[in-house]
Amino acid sequence: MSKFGIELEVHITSLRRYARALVRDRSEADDLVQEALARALSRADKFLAGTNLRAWLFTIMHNVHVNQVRSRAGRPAEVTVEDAVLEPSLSRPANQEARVELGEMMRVLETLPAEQRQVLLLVALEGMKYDEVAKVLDVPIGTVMSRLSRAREAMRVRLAGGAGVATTLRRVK
Amino acid sequence: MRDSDLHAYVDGQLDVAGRIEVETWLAEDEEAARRVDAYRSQNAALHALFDSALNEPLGPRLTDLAEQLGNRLDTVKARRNRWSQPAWTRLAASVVLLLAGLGGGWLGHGQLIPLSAPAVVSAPVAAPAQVAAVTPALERPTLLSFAEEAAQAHSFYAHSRFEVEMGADDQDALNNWLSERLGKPVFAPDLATTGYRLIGGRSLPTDSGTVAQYMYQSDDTNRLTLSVGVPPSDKQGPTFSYAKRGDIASFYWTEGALSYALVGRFDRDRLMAIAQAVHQKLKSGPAPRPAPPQSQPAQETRPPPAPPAEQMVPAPVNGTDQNRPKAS
Repeated sequence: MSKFGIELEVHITSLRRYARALVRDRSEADDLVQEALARALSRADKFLAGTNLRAWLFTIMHNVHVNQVRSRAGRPAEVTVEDAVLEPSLSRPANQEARVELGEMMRVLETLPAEQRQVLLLVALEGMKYDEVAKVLDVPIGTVMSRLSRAREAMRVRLAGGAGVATTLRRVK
Repeated sequence: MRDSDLHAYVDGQLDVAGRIEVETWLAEDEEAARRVDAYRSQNAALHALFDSALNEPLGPRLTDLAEQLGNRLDTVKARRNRWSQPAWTRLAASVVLLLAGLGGGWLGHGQLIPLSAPAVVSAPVAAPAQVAAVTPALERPTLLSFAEEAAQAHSFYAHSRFEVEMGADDQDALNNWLSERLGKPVFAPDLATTGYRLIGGRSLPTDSGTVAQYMYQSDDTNRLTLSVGVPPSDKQGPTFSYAKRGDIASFYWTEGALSYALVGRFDRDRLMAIAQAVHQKLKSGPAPRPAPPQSQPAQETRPPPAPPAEQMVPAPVNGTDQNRPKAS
């Protein structure tokens, strides 16, 4: 096995999680990961050992995604929100109430502008440091912070309307 | 106080001083506290929505691509190593000195030598190079700051509904994943003898680098965490240190290549008893499945699952003081 084997596997599962959150449609997300890996393979020479492999892979996938979105602009979305919303929740042993809340969360996430959603997902879901996110998205760190702030506030305000996640998921003391 | 500090607090990207500052602010500003709560809930909900993707097998096409890419990166790295041997040698030497100071003999276990060393690199070079790669920056956080971050992380996650990033259903997978995040082999000791069972773990970005946090739970749902990180530069033996803040108590120590912090709502004696059990299990290594390790911790990158509770614990277990709202 390659010495990058386990590390790569971990990063690839993260790439797939991020892709699924980003593009909703499962097969489209998996295609995105695949294309990103193929691209990484053709650019492996440019990777500097000892530098951040995860950030390198996410950067490549981000660029692939941006190109895809650009070339597909104008094409209608093929997946209904409901399909995508219910799928991940069904695999969890959650009660009906929690499922609805998460579905609501998903819907609100969809309403965010793409660049805010990307920042929010990289930070909150992938646990990236802000400067890492800035590198991946190729924007200044101040832009990362303002997008993050706007994304979270928008989610908070929209979720507060339907007595949902914000109250129920609050930490139990 | 800046808005960005609030986010950095939620995302665990502040140092201890920064966290204390934000917490002071939150105590006085209800609106800010509500925002922090909401943002944390958002984080947790995102994990609940999408983490299932982590547990799926990669599938044939991705596995194939991963393998090709891994091999390609190996080749690229091996070529670079060969070209820049003096730099590697220098770096490797300093790392060896550091490791020798931290407990010695660590390199000899060979746990960081890649399973299949690239053919173009001779073994003596390959091993230190690999070590250097996983010890990127020799910063100077202290063992105390590591322990404080571990305690913070405990308070942060122990009572969350989404307390772990990866569950303990597959302990091998959990250990492998955290070993990879940490850059060093780690495993969750079996604490069944203390009444605590592993429920999962997460990786945390901290000032002292990535920290692996294992979470355990007792039958009465009290939780304790064992955080494992790379040792800070202030050299320490395996002597236990104790700290207490509010009702959260910590024991922390450095041993060999790793620092540990055991955190929970316990009194000193109870925590000490558990810490001794942890220490003992760590010394005996992950479950001695094929053959018992010879007095040294087994250093495989894929430790077998934890053994059944058969080892003795130095102190009797009587958890009477768990879950107390305030202990001091």
